[in-house]
Amino acid sequence: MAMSETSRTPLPHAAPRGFLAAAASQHGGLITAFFLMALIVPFLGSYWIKNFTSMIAVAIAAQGVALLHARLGFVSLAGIAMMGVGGWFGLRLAHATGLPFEIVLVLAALCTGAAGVLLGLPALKHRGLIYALITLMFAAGFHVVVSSIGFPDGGSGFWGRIDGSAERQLMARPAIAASDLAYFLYALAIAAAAFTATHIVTKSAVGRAWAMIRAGDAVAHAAGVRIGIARAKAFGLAGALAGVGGCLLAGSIGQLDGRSFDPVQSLLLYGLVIIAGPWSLAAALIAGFLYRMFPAILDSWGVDGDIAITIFGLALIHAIVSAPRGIAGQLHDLTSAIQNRLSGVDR
Amino acid sequence: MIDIDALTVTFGGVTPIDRLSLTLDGQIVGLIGPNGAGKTTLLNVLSGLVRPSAGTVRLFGKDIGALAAGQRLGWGVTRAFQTPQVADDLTASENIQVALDSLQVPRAEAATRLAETLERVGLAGHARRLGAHLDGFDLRMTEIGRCLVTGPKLIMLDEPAAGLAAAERTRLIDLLRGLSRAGTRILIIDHDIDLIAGLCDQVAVLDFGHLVASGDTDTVLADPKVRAAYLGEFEDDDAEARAA
Ligand SMILES: Nc1ncnc2c1ncn2[C@@H]1O[C@H](COP(=O)(O)OP(=O)(O)OP(=O)(O)O)[C@@H](O)[C@H]1O
Ligand SMILES: [Mg+2]
Repeated sequence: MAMSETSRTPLPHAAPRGFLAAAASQHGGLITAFFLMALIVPFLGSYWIKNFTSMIAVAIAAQGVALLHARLGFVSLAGIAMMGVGGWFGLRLAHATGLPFEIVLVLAALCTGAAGVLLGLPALKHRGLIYALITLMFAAGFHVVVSSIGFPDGGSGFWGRIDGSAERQLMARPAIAASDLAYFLYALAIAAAAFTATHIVTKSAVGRAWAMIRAGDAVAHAAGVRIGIARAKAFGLAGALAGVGGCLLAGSIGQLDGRSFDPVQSLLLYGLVIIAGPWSLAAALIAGFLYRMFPAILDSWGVDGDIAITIFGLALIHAIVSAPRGIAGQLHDLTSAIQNRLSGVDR
Repeated sequence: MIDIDALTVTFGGVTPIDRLSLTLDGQIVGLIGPNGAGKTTLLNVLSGLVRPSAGTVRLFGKDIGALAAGQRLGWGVTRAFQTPQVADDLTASENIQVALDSLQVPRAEAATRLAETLERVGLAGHARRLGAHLDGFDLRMTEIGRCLVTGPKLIMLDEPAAGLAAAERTRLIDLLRGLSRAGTRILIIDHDIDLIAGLCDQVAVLDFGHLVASGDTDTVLADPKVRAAYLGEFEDDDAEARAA
Protein backbone atom coordinates (compact mmCIF):
# COMPACT_ATOMS: atom_id res chain seq x y z
CA MET A 1 0.00 0.00 0.00
CA ALA A 2 2.91 2.28 0.72
CA MET A 3 3.95 4.58 -2.01
CA SER A 4 7.08 6.41 -1.13
CA GLU A 5 7.91 9.42 -3.20
CA THR A 6 10.88 7.64 -4.65
CA SER A 7 8.77 4.92 -6.28
CA ARG A 8 8.85 6.39 -9.76
CA THR A 9 7.02 4.37 -12.37
CA PRO A 10 9.71 2.15 -13.81
CA LEU A 11 10.04 3.23 -17.40
CA PRO A 12 13.02 1.72 -19.16
CA HIS A 13 12.38 3.77 -22.24
CA ALA A 14 12.05 7.23 -20.74
CA ALA A 15 12.43 9.99 -23.27
CA PRO A 16 16.02 10.98 -23.80
CA ARG A 17 16.72 14.54 -22.79
CA GLY A 18 17.19 17.11 -25.49
CA PHE A 19 15.08 15.19 -27.90
CA LEU A 20 12.05 16.28 -25.92
CA ALA A 21 12.56 19.89 -26.83
CA ALA A 22 13.04 18.89 -30.40
CA ALA A 23 9.89 16.77 -30.51
CA ALA A 24 7.76 19.88 -30.49
CA SER A 25 9.28 21.33 -33.63
CA GLN A 26 9.45 17.99 -35.35
CA HIS A 27 6.11 17.71 -37.03
CA GLY A 28 7.36 19.65 -40.04
CA GLY A 29 8.91 16.49 -41.43
CA LEU A 30 5.73 14.52 -40.89
CA ILE A 31 3.58 17.11 -42.62
CA THR A 32 6.03 17.17 -45.53
CA ALA A 33 5.83 13.38 -45.77
CA PHE A 34 2.04 13.51 -45.99
CA PHE A 35 2.19 16.14 -48.76
CA LEU A 36 4.85 14.23 -50.66
CA MET A 37 2.76 11.06 -50.57
CA ALA A 38 -0.30 12.94 -51.79
CA LEU A 39 1.77 14.35 -54.67
CA ILE A 40 3.80 11.32 -55.69
CA VAL A 41 1.70 8.22 -55.02
CA PRO A 42 -0.96 9.14 -57.64
CA PHE A 43 1.74 8.71 -60.30
CA LEU A 44 2.65 5.22 -59.18
CA GLY A 45 0.91 2.12 -60.44
CA SER A 46 -2.08 0.44 -58.87
CA TYR A 47 0.18 -2.09 -57.04
CA TRP A 48 1.95 0.71 -55.22
CA ILE A 49 -1.17 2.73 -54.57
CA LYS A 50 -2.76 -0.26 -52.80
CA ASN A 51 0.41 -0.88 -50.82
CA PHE A 52 0.55 2.74 -49.74
CA THR A 53 -3.07 2.54 -48.63
CA SER A 54 -2.30 -0.49 -46.47
CA MET A 55 0.75 1.29 -45.13
CA ILE A 56 -1.38 4.26 -44.07
CA ALA A 57 -3.84 1.94 -42.34
CA VAL A 58 -1.03 0.20 -40.46
CA ALA A 59 0.52 3.57 -39.56
CA ILE A 60 -2.69 4.66 -37.84
CA ALA A 61 -2.71 1.49 -35.72
CA ALA A 62 1.02 1.92 -35.06
CA GLN A 63 0.25 5.35 -33.62
CA GLY A 64 -1.69 3.58 -30.88
CA VAL A 65 1.19 1.19 -30.17
CA ALA A 66 3.61 4.14 -30.01
CA LEU A 67 1.24 6.03 -27.71
CA LEU A 68 1.03 3.17 -25.22
CA HIS A 69 4.77 2.69 -25.27
CA ALA A 70 5.90 6.30 -25.09
CA ARG A 71 3.17 7.91 -23.00
CA LEU A 72 2.29 5.06 -20.67
CA GLY A 73 5.29 2.75 -20.72
CA PHE A 74 3.17 -0.24 -21.73
CA VAL A 75 4.25 -2.73 -24.34
CA SER A 76 1.38 -3.76 -26.57
CA LEU A 77 2.11 -6.81 -28.68
CA ALA A 78 -1.39 -6.83 -30.15
CA GLY A 79 -1.19 -3.91 -32.57
CA ILE A 80 -2.06 -5.83 -35.72
CA ALA A 81 -4.56 -8.01 -33.83
CA MET A 82 -6.38 -4.87 -32.67
CA MET A 83 -6.41 -3.73 -36.29
CA GLY A 84 -8.06 -7.05 -37.03
CA VAL A 85 -10.63 -6.34 -34.33
CA GLY A 86 -11.28 -2.97 -35.97
CA GLY A 87 -11.59 -4.64 -39.36
CA TRP A 88 -14.00 -7.20 -37.91
CA PHE A 89 -16.23 -4.48 -36.45
CA GLY A 90 -16.03 -2.49 -39.68
CA LEU A 91 -17.00 -5.45 -41.87
CA ARG A 92 -19.68 -6.66 -39.51
CA LEU A 93 -21.29 -3.23 -39.19
CA ALA A 94 -21.00 -2.42 -42.88
CA HIS A 95 -22.64 -5.68 -43.98
CA ALA A 96 -25.27 -5.64 -41.25
CA THR A 97 -26.34 -2.01 -41.51
CA GLY A 98 -25.32 -0.75 -44.93
CA LEU A 99 -24.51 2.57 -43.26
CA PRO A 100 -22.20 5.01 -45.06
CA PHE A 101 -18.50 4.21 -44.73
CA GLU A 102 -17.78 7.24 -42.56
CA ILE A 103 -20.32 6.19 -39.95
CA VAL A 104 -19.07 2.61 -39.99
CA LEU A 105 -15.55 3.97 -39.49
CA VAL A 106 -16.58 5.97 -36.44
CA LEU A 107 -18.54 3.08 -34.96
CA ALA A 108 -15.69 0.65 -35.58
CA ALA A 109 -13.32 3.10 -33.87
CA LEU A 110 -15.63 3.33 -30.85
CA CYS A 111 -16.09 -0.45 -30.58
CA THR A 112 -12.37 -1.11 -30.97
CA GLY A 113 -11.66 1.67 -28.48
CA ALA A 114 -13.87 -0.16 -25.99
CA ALA A 115 -12.02 -3.39 -26.79
CA GLY A 116 -8.77 -1.49 -26.19
CA VAL A 117 -9.96 -0.44 -22.74
CA LEU A 118 -10.81 -4.08 -21.96
CA LEU A 119 -7.40 -5.20 -23.12
CA GLY A 120 -6.00 -2.48 -20.85
CA LEU A 121 -7.71 -3.89 -17.75
CA PRO A 122 -4.91 -6.37 -16.94
CA ALA A 123 -2.61 -3.33 -16.86
CA LEU A 124 -4.26 -2.38 -13.58
CA LYS A 125 -2.35 -5.25 -12.01
CA HIS A 126 0.41 -6.15 -14.42
CA ARG A 127 3.05 -4.20 -16.19
CA GLY A 128 6.31 -4.85 -17.99
CA LEU A 129 6.85 -8.28 -19.44
CA ILE A 130 3.71 -9.82 -17.95
CA TYR A 131 1.44 -7.25 -19.56
CA ALA A 132 3.29 -7.59 -22.86
CA LEU A 133 2.73 -11.35 -22.77
CA ILE A 134 -0.95 -10.88 -22.00
CA THR A 135 -1.32 -8.74 -25.13
CA LEU A 136 0.64 -11.28 -27.16
CA MET A 137 -1.65 -14.05 -25.95
CA PHE A 138 -4.62 -11.94 -26.94
CA ALA A 139 -3.10 -11.55 -30.40
CA ALA A 140 -2.58 -15.30 -30.64
CA GLY A 141 -6.12 -16.02 -29.45
CA PHE A 142 -7.58 -13.55 -31.91
CA HIS A 143 -5.66 -15.21 -34.71
CA VAL A 144 -6.96 -18.66 -33.79
CA VAL A 145 -10.56 -17.47 -33.66
CA VAL A 146 -10.50 -15.31 -36.76
CA SER A 147 -8.68 -17.83 -38.91
CA SER A 148 -11.12 -20.59 -38.03
CA ILE A 149 -14.30 -18.53 -38.22
CA GLY A 150 -13.22 -15.95 -40.76
CA PHE A 151 -14.03 -12.25 -41.05
CA PRO A 152 -17.63 -11.23 -41.81
CA ASP A 153 -18.37 -11.36 -45.52
CA GLY A 154 -22.02 -10.50 -45.78
CA GLY A 155 -23.66 -13.54 -44.19
CA SER A 156 -26.16 -13.50 -41.37
CA GLY A 157 -25.88 -14.45 -37.72
CA PHE A 158 -23.44 -13.08 -35.19
CA TRP A 159 -20.35 -13.96 -37.18
CA GLY A 160 -21.77 -12.65 -40.46
CA ARG A 161 -20.33 -15.48 -42.55
CA ILE A 162 -21.68 -16.55 -45.91
CA ASP A 163 -22.28 -20.28 -45.90
CA GLY A 164 -22.22 -22.71 -48.76
CA SER A 165 -22.08 -21.49 -52.31
CA ALA A 166 -23.38 -17.92 -51.89
CA GLU A 167 -20.96 -15.30 -53.09
CA ARG A 168 -18.86 -13.41 -50.56
CA GLN A 169 -19.63 -9.73 -50.39
CA LEU A 170 -17.12 -6.91 -50.30
CA MET A 171 -17.29 -3.98 -47.92
CA ALA A 172 -18.41 -0.88 -49.78
CA ARG A 173 -15.93 1.97 -50.03
CA PRO A 174 -17.00 5.54 -49.32
CA ALA A 175 -19.04 7.09 -52.11
CA ILE A 176 -16.45 9.80 -52.68
CA ALA A 177 -13.52 7.38 -52.80
CA ALA A 178 -14.46 4.43 -54.92
CA SER A 179 -11.28 4.21 -57.02
CA ASP A 180 -7.99 2.93 -55.60
CA LEU A 181 -6.38 6.33 -55.92
CA ALA A 182 -9.28 8.23 -54.41
CA TYR A 183 -9.37 5.72 -51.58
CA PHE A 184 -5.66 6.19 -50.94
CA LEU A 185 -6.13 9.96 -50.68
CA TYR A 186 -9.14 9.38 -48.46
CA ALA A 187 -7.08 7.13 -46.15
CA LEU A 188 -4.31 9.72 -46.12
CA ALA A 189 -6.74 12.41 -45.01
CA ILE A 190 -8.12 10.15 -42.27
CA ALA A 191 -4.55 9.43 -41.13
CA ALA A 192 -3.77 13.15 -41.01
CA ALA A 193 -6.88 13.67 -38.88
CA ALA A 194 -5.99 10.72 -36.61
CA PHE A 195 -2.42 11.95 -36.11
CA THR A 196 -3.63 15.48 -35.42
CA ALA A 197 -6.15 14.18 -32.90
CA THR A 198 -3.44 12.15 -31.18
CA HIS A 199 -1.23 15.22 -31.01
CA ILE A 200 -4.03 17.34 -29.58
CA VAL A 201 -4.83 14.74 -26.92
CA THR A 202 -1.20 14.45 -25.84
CA LYS A 203 -1.10 18.24 -25.45
CA SER A 204 -4.34 18.32 -23.44
CA ALA A 205 -5.12 17.61 -19.80
CA VAL A 206 -5.11 13.90 -20.64
CA GLY A 207 -1.56 14.12 -22.01
CA ARG A 208 -0.46 16.09 -18.95
CA ALA A 209 -1.91 13.36 -16.74
CA TRP A 210 0.05 10.72 -18.68
CA ALA A 211 3.24 12.73 -18.23
CA MET A 212 2.64 13.00 -14.48
CA ILE A 213 2.09 9.25 -14.22
CA ARG A 214 5.41 8.74 -15.97
CA ALA A 215 7.04 11.10 -13.49
CA GLY A 216 5.77 8.87 -10.68
CA ASP A 217 2.59 7.45 -9.22
CA ALA A 218 3.03 9.40 -5.98
CA VAL A 219 3.27 12.81 -7.63
CA ALA A 220 0.45 11.91 -10.01
CA HIS A 221 -1.81 11.12 -7.05
CA ALA A 222 -0.70 14.26 -5.24
CA ALA A 223 -1.48 16.35 -8.33
CA GLY A 224 -4.99 14.94 -8.44
CA VAL A 225 -4.47 12.67 -11.45
CA ARG A 226 -6.82 9.70 -11.49
CA ILE A 227 -4.32 7.18 -12.71
CA GLY A 228 -6.68 4.37 -13.70
CA ILE A 229 -8.91 6.66 -15.72
CA ALA A 230 -5.96 8.37 -17.41
CA ARG A 231 -4.57 4.98 -18.41
CA ALA A 232 -7.95 3.77 -19.64
CA LYS A 233 -8.11 6.81 -21.92
CA ALA A 234 -4.78 5.85 -23.49
CA PHE A 235 -5.87 2.27 -24.03
CA GLY A 236 -9.15 3.51 -25.47
CA LEU A 237 -7.41 5.91 -27.84
CA ALA A 238 -4.92 3.26 -28.93
CA GLY A 239 -7.83 0.87 -29.58
CA ALA A 240 -9.74 3.50 -31.53
CA LEU A 241 -6.69 4.20 -33.70
CA ALA A 242 -6.34 0.48 -34.41
CA GLY A 243 -10.06 0.41 -35.20
CA VAL A 244 -9.71 3.20 -37.75
CA GLY A 245 -6.69 1.48 -39.30
CA GLY A 246 -8.43 -1.90 -39.45
CA CYS A 247 -11.60 -0.46 -40.92
CA LEU A 248 -9.62 1.44 -43.59
CA LEU A 249 -7.77 -1.76 -44.45
CA ALA A 250 -11.05 -3.67 -44.76
CA GLY A 251 -12.43 -0.93 -46.99
CA SER A 252 -9.34 -1.00 -49.15
CA ILE A 253 -9.47 -4.72 -49.89
CA GLY A 254 -13.19 -5.20 -49.34
CA GLN A 255 -12.62 -8.24 -47.15
CA LEU A 256 -10.01 -9.51 -44.72
CA ASP A 257 -8.19 -12.81 -44.40
CA GLY A 258 -7.73 -14.16 -40.88
CA ARG A 259 -4.42 -15.75 -41.77
CA SER A 260 -2.73 -12.35 -42.18
CA PHE A 261 -3.38 -11.45 -38.53
CA ASP A 262 -1.00 -13.86 -36.89
CA PRO A 263 0.64 -12.72 -33.64
CA VAL A 264 4.07 -12.44 -35.25
CA GLN A 265 2.69 -9.50 -37.24
CA SER A 266 1.77 -7.70 -34.01
CA LEU A 267 5.18 -8.48 -32.56
CA LEU A 268 6.79 -7.16 -35.72
CA LEU A 269 4.80 -3.94 -35.60
CA TYR A 270 5.91 -3.30 -32.03
CA GLY A 271 9.54 -3.88 -33.00
CA LEU A 272 9.18 -1.47 -35.89
CA VAL A 273 7.63 1.19 -33.68
CA ILE A 274 10.68 0.88 -31.40
CA ILE A 275 13.05 1.09 -34.37
CA ALA A 276 11.16 4.13 -35.62
CA GLY A 277 11.34 5.92 -32.24
CA PRO A 278 7.91 6.05 -30.54
CA TRP A 279 8.54 9.45 -28.96
CA SER A 280 7.86 11.07 -32.28
CA LEU A 281 4.47 11.30 -33.92
CA ALA A 282 6.27 10.45 -37.16
CA ALA A 283 7.33 7.06 -35.80
CA ALA A 284 3.99 5.52 -36.69
CA LEU A 285 4.39 6.51 -40.31
CA ILE A 286 7.93 5.17 -40.42
CA ALA A 287 6.78 1.94 -38.77
CA GLY A 288 3.92 1.62 -41.28
CA PHE A 289 6.37 2.19 -44.11
CA LEU A 290 8.78 -0.45 -42.84
CA TYR A 291 5.97 -2.90 -42.14
CA ARG A 292 4.22 -2.64 -45.47
CA MET A 293 6.39 -0.91 -48.08
CA PHE A 294 9.81 -2.29 -47.30
CA PRO A 295 8.82 -5.92 -48.01
CA ALA A 296 6.86 -4.75 -51.07
CA ILE A 297 9.95 -2.96 -52.40
CA LEU A 298 12.10 -6.06 -51.83
CA ASP A 299 9.45 -8.16 -53.58
CA SER A 300 9.41 -5.80 -56.54
CA TRP A 301 13.20 -6.23 -56.79
CA GLY A 302 12.74 -9.98 -56.86
CA VAL A 303 14.15 -10.38 -53.31
CA ASP A 304 12.11 -12.47 -50.90
CA GLY A 305 10.11 -9.97 -48.82
CA ASP A 306 10.53 -12.17 -45.74
CA ILE A 307 14.21 -11.18 -45.73
CA ALA A 308 12.82 -7.94 -44.33
CA ILE A 309 12.23 -9.60 -40.96
CA THR A 310 15.93 -10.44 -40.67
CA ILE A 311 16.87 -6.89 -41.58
CA PHE A 312 14.36 -5.55 -39.03
CA GLY A 313 15.94 -7.76 -36.37
CA LEU A 314 19.32 -6.21 -37.05
CA ALA A 315 17.78 -2.74 -37.10
CA LEU A 316 16.16 -3.40 -33.74
CA ILE A 317 19.51 -4.34 -32.25
CA HIS A 318 20.98 -1.21 -33.77
CA ALA A 319 18.14 0.89 -32.36
CA ILE A 320 18.55 -0.51 -28.87
CA VAL A 321 22.33 -0.25 -28.88
CA SER A 322 23.04 3.00 -30.62
CA ALA A 323 19.91 4.88 -31.67
CA PRO A 324 17.60 4.99 -28.64
CA ARG A 325 15.59 7.79 -30.21
CA GLY A 326 14.88 5.68 -33.25
CA ILE A 327 14.83 6.60 -36.89
CA ALA A 328 12.57 9.57 -36.20
CA GLY A 329 15.19 10.96 -33.83
CA GLN A 330 17.99 10.43 -36.33
CA LEU A 331 15.99 12.05 -39.11
CA HIS A 332 15.35 14.96 -36.84
CA ASP A 333 19.06 15.35 -36.11
CA LEU A 334 19.75 15.21 -39.80
CA THR A 335 17.18 17.85 -40.72
CA SER A 336 18.29 20.18 -37.95
CA ALA A 337 21.93 19.74 -39.02
CA ILE A 338 20.94 20.68 -42.56
CA GLN A 339 18.88 23.61 -41.34
CA ASN A 340 21.79 24.84 -39.26
CA ARG A 341 24.15 24.45 -42.18
CA LEU A 342 21.78 26.41 -44.43
CA SER A 343 21.26 29.16 -41.89
CA GLY A 344 25.01 29.31 -41.24
CA VAL A 345 24.85 28.21 -37.63
CA ASP A 346 27.98 26.35 -36.68
CA ARG A 347 27.59 23.83 -33.90
CA MET B 1 -4.64 22.99 12.38
CA ILE B 2 -2.86 19.61 12.43
CA ASP B 3 -4.07 17.13 15.04
CA ILE B 4 -2.54 13.69 15.02
CA ASP B 5 -3.66 11.02 17.44
CA ALA B 6 -1.95 7.69 18.08
CA LEU B 7 -0.72 7.50 14.50
CA THR B 8 1.17 4.38 13.50
CA VAL B 9 2.65 3.57 10.11
CA THR B 10 4.23 0.22 9.36
CA PHE B 11 5.90 -1.01 6.21
CA GLY B 12 6.47 -4.73 6.61
CA GLY B 13 8.75 -4.92 9.64
CA VAL B 14 9.58 -1.20 9.75
CA THR B 15 7.59 1.20 11.92
CA PRO B 16 8.68 4.69 10.86
CA ILE B 17 5.88 6.29 12.88
CA ASP B 18 4.94 4.73 16.19
CA ARG B 19 1.84 5.86 18.14
CA LEU B 20 2.54 9.49 17.42
CA SER B 21 0.27 12.13 18.91
CA LEU B 22 0.91 15.70 17.99
CA THR B 23 -0.83 19.04 17.64
CA LEU B 24 0.58 21.87 15.59
CA ASP B 25 -0.96 25.26 14.96
CA GLY B 26 0.47 28.38 13.41
CA GLN B 27 0.88 30.29 10.17
CA ILE B 28 4.08 28.41 9.41
CA VAL B 29 4.90 25.24 11.31
CA GLY B 30 8.07 23.17 11.16
CA LEU B 31 8.84 19.49 11.34
CA ILE B 32 12.42 18.56 12.12
CA GLY B 33 14.37 15.50 13.13
CA PRO B 34 17.37 13.46 12.09
CA ASN B 35 17.49 11.36 8.92
CA GLY B 36 15.01 8.52 9.00
CA ALA B 37 12.99 10.11 11.78
CA GLY B 38 9.74 9.64 9.86
CA LYS B 39 9.19 13.23 8.66
CA THR B 40 8.55 12.39 5.03
CA THR B 41 6.41 9.44 6.05
CA LEU B 42 4.27 11.74 8.17
CA LEU B 43 3.91 14.11 5.23
CA ASN B 44 2.94 11.16 3.04
CA VAL B 45 0.20 10.32 5.51
CA LEU B 46 -1.02 13.91 5.65
CA SER B 47 -1.16 14.12 1.86
CA GLY B 48 -2.92 10.77 1.49
CA LEU B 49 -0.12 8.83 -0.20
CA VAL B 50 0.46 6.47 2.70
CA ARG B 51 -2.36 4.87 4.64
CA PRO B 52 -1.64 4.64 8.36
CA SER B 53 -2.05 1.30 10.11
CA ALA B 54 -3.67 3.00 13.08
CA GLY B 55 -4.58 6.40 14.45
CA THR B 56 -6.35 9.47 13.17
CA VAL B 57 -5.29 12.62 11.43
CA ARG B 58 -7.31 15.83 11.51
CA LEU B 59 -6.62 18.88 9.42
CA PHE B 60 -8.50 22.06 10.25
CA GLY B 61 -10.68 19.98 12.55
CA LYS B 62 -11.72 17.45 9.90
CA ASP B 63 -10.79 13.77 10.00
CA ILE B 64 -9.25 13.32 6.56
CA GLY B 65 -8.50 9.61 6.82
CA ALA B 66 -11.09 8.70 4.20
CA LEU B 67 -9.98 11.28 1.60
CA ALA B 68 -7.80 10.09 -1.29
CA ALA B 69 -4.79 12.19 -2.25
CA GLY B 70 -6.62 13.85 -5.14
CA GLN B 71 -9.56 14.75 -2.89
CA ARG B 72 -7.21 16.35 -0.37
CA LEU B 73 -5.90 18.53 -3.17
CA GLY B 74 -9.44 19.64 -3.95
CA TRP B 75 -10.02 20.25 -0.26
CA GLY B 76 -7.06 22.62 -0.07
CA VAL B 77 -4.15 20.48 1.13
CA THR B 78 -1.18 20.19 -1.20
CA ARG B 79 2.42 19.11 -0.98
CA ALA B 80 5.79 19.16 -2.66
CA PHE B 81 8.33 16.34 -2.58
CA GLN B 82 11.76 15.99 -1.04
CA THR B 83 13.17 15.21 -4.48
CA PRO B 84 11.28 17.54 -6.82
CA GLN B 85 8.85 15.52 -8.89
CA VAL B 86 8.55 17.32 -12.17
CA ALA B 87 7.64 15.68 -15.48
CA ASP B 88 10.64 15.95 -17.80
CA ASP B 89 8.59 16.28 -20.95
CA LEU B 90 6.12 18.89 -19.76
CA THR B 91 6.98 22.55 -19.62
CA ALA B 92 7.22 24.35 -16.28
CA SER B 93 3.82 25.84 -17.01
CA GLU B 94 2.23 22.48 -17.88
CA ASN B 95 3.78 20.93 -14.77
CA ILE B 96 1.87 23.50 -12.73
CA GLN B 97 -1.29 23.41 -14.82
CA VAL B 98 -1.73 19.69 -14.20
CA ALA B 99 -2.94 20.37 -10.66
CA LEU B 100 -5.77 22.52 -12.04
CA ASP B 101 -6.89 19.87 -14.50
CA SER B 102 -8.62 17.78 -11.85
CA LEU B 103 -10.35 20.72 -10.19
CA GLN B 104 -12.82 21.73 -12.89
CA VAL B 105 -11.68 25.33 -12.89
CA PRO B 106 -13.22 27.31 -15.78
CA ARG B 107 -10.75 27.73 -18.62
CA ALA B 108 -10.37 31.50 -18.38
CA GLU B 109 -9.89 31.43 -14.64
CA ALA B 110 -7.39 28.61 -14.98
CA ALA B 111 -5.34 30.67 -17.43
CA THR B 112 -5.33 33.66 -15.09
CA ARG B 113 -4.38 31.58 -12.08
CA LEU B 114 -1.64 29.86 -14.01
CA ALA B 115 -0.14 33.16 -15.16
CA GLU B 116 -0.33 34.59 -11.63
CA THR B 117 1.30 31.50 -10.16
CA LEU B 118 4.13 31.49 -12.69
CA GLU B 119 4.76 35.14 -11.84
CA ARG B 120 4.67 34.46 -8.13
CA VAL B 121 7.18 31.62 -8.16
CA GLY B 122 9.43 33.51 -10.55
CA LEU B 123 8.96 31.17 -13.49
CA ALA B 124 7.22 33.55 -15.88
CA GLY B 125 10.40 33.75 -17.93
CA HIS B 126 10.87 29.97 -18.03
CA ALA B 127 7.23 28.97 -18.39
CA ARG B 128 7.81 27.15 -21.67
CA ARG B 129 11.01 25.44 -20.63
CA LEU B 130 10.74 21.65 -20.34
CA GLY B 131 11.09 20.04 -16.94
CA ALA B 132 14.17 18.21 -18.22
CA HIS B 133 15.91 21.56 -18.71
CA LEU B 134 15.01 23.27 -15.43
CA ASP B 135 17.71 23.79 -12.81
CA GLY B 136 17.35 22.70 -9.18
CA PHE B 137 15.81 25.92 -7.93
CA ASP B 138 13.34 26.13 -10.81
CA LEU B 139 12.33 22.52 -10.17
CA ARG B 140 11.55 23.45 -6.56
CA MET B 141 9.63 26.48 -7.70
CA THR B 142 7.70 24.43 -10.25
CA GLU B 143 6.58 22.10 -7.49
CA ILE B 144 5.64 24.96 -5.21
CA GLY B 145 3.77 26.52 -8.13
CA ARG B 146 1.85 23.27 -8.59
CA CYS B 147 0.84 23.53 -4.94
CA LEU B 148 -0.07 27.21 -5.10
CA VAL B 149 -2.10 27.18 -8.28
CA THR B 150 -4.90 25.30 -6.55
CA GLY B 151 -5.32 28.09 -4.01
CA PRO B 152 -4.63 25.83 -1.02
CA LYS B 153 -5.36 26.30 2.67
CA LEU B 154 -2.22 24.37 3.58
CA ILE B 155 0.93 23.61 1.63
CA MET B 156 3.43 21.08 2.89
CA LEU B 157 7.05 21.30 1.77
CA ASP B 158 9.65 18.59 2.24
CA GLU B 159 13.12 20.13 2.58
CA PRO B 160 12.52 22.91 0.05
CA ALA B 161 15.77 24.68 0.93
CA ALA B 162 17.99 21.63 0.43
CA GLY B 163 20.73 22.34 -2.07
CA LEU B 164 19.79 25.97 -2.66
CA ALA B 165 22.35 28.75 -2.99
CA ALA B 166 22.12 31.61 -0.51
CA ALA B 167 20.33 33.94 -2.92
CA GLU B 168 17.84 31.25 -3.86
CA ARG B 169 17.23 30.46 -0.22
CA THR B 170 16.41 34.13 0.38
CA ARG B 171 13.94 34.10 -2.51
CA LEU B 172 12.32 30.99 -1.10
CA ILE B 173 11.98 32.60 2.33
CA ASP B 174 10.47 35.74 0.82
CA LEU B 175 7.99 33.64 -1.12
CA LEU B 176 6.95 31.65 1.93
CA ARG B 177 6.58 34.78 4.08
CA GLY B 178 4.45 36.37 1.37
CA LEU B 179 2.22 33.31 1.17
CA SER B 180 1.86 33.18 4.89
CA ARG B 181 0.87 36.84 5.05
CA ALA B 182 -1.76 36.14 2.41
CA GLY B 183 -3.27 33.48 4.68
CA THR B 184 -1.87 30.20 3.37
CA ARG B 185 -0.73 27.88 6.14
CA ILE B 186 2.61 26.18 5.57
CA LEU B 187 4.14 23.01 6.98
CA ILE B 188 7.85 22.85 6.32
CA ILE B 189 10.28 20.00 6.87
CA ASP B 190 13.91 21.01 6.84
CA HIS B 191 17.29 20.22 8.29
CA ASP B 192 18.18 23.91 8.08
CA ILE B 193 17.50 24.95 11.67
CA ASP B 194 18.10 28.63 10.97
CA LEU B 195 15.44 28.53 8.30
CA ILE B 196 13.00 26.81 10.65
CA ALA B 197 13.84 29.15 13.52
CA GLY B 198 13.39 32.18 11.31
CA LEU B 199 10.09 31.14 9.72
CA CYS B 200 8.07 28.94 12.03
CA ASP B 201 5.66 29.77 14.85
CA GLN B 202 5.59 26.19 16.07
CA VAL B 203 7.85 23.20 15.59
CA ALA B 204 7.65 19.46 16.19
CA VAL B 205 10.74 17.32 16.54
CA LEU B 206 10.62 13.64 15.57
CA ASP B 207 13.12 10.93 16.21
CA PHE B 208 12.65 7.27 15.29
CA GLY B 209 8.96 7.87 14.75
CA HIS B 210 8.43 9.34 18.20
CA LEU B 211 7.77 12.89 19.23
CA VAL B 212 10.75 14.44 21.01
CA ALA B 213 9.16 17.83 21.57
CA SER B 214 6.64 20.21 20.08
CA GLY B 215 5.35 23.71 20.69
CA ASP B 216 6.58 27.26 20.21
CA THR B 217 9.71 27.38 18.13
CA ASP B 218 11.98 29.14 20.63
CA THR B 219 10.99 26.84 23.48
CA VAL B 220 11.40 23.68 21.44
CA LEU B 221 14.75 24.63 19.97
CA ALA B 222 16.08 25.45 23.43
CA ASP B 223 15.01 22.05 24.78
CA PRO B 224 18.05 19.94 25.77
CA LYS B 225 16.41 16.76 24.43
CA VAL B 226 16.09 18.40 21.03
CA ARG B 227 19.65 19.57 21.11
CA ALA B 228 20.70 16.03 21.98
CA ALA B 229 18.75 14.62 19.05
CA TYR B 230 20.57 17.02 16.78
CA LEU B 231 23.91 16.34 18.44
CA GLY B 232 26.12 19.26 17.55
CA GLU B 233 24.30 20.02 14.34
CA PHE B 234 23.39 23.47 15.52
CA GLU B 235 24.81 23.59 18.99
CA ASP B 236 27.32 26.32 18.48
CA ASP B 237 26.02 28.48 15.75
CA ASP B 238 22.27 28.82 16.22
CA ALA B 239 22.45 31.45 18.92
CA GLU B 240 24.57 33.75 16.82
CA ALA B 241 22.57 32.99 13.72
CA ARG B 242 19.33 33.96 15.38
CA ALA B 243 20.87 37.01 16.93
CA ALA B 244 22.09 38.13 13.52
N1 LIG C 1 7.90 2.88 1.44
C1 LIG C 1 8.69 2.50 2.46
N2 LIG C 1 8.93 1.19 2.68
C2 LIG C 1 9.71 0.79 3.70
N3 LIG C 1 10.32 1.63 4.55
C3 LIG C 1 10.13 2.95 4.38
C4 LIG C 1 9.31 3.46 3.32
N4 LIG C 1 9.29 4.81 3.40
C5 LIG C 1 10.08 5.10 4.46
N5 LIG C 1 10.57 4.01 5.05
C6 LIG C 1 11.45 3.96 6.23
O1 LIG C 1 10.84 4.74 7.21
C7 LIG C 1 11.83 5.45 7.95
C8 LIG C 1 11.50 6.93 7.94
O2 LIG C 1 11.71 7.43 6.65
P1 LIG C 1 11.36 8.92 6.24
O3 LIG C 1 11.63 9.04 4.80
O4 LIG C 1 10.01 9.26 6.71
O5 LIG C 1 12.44 9.73 7.08
P2 LIG C 1 12.76 11.29 7.06
O6 LIG C 1 12.57 11.77 8.43
O7 LIG C 1 12.00 11.98 6.00
O8 LIG C 1 14.31 11.26 6.72
P3 LIG C 1 15.18 12.26 5.81
O9 LIG C 1 15.54 13.42 6.66
O10 LIG C 1 16.39 11.44 5.47
O11 LIG C 1 14.37 12.63 4.63
C9 LIG C 1 13.16 5.13 7.32
O12 LIG C 1 13.77 4.12 8.08
C10 LIG C 1 12.80 4.60 5.96
O13 LIG C 1 13.74 3.67 5.52
MG1 LIG D 1 12.48 12.90 4.26
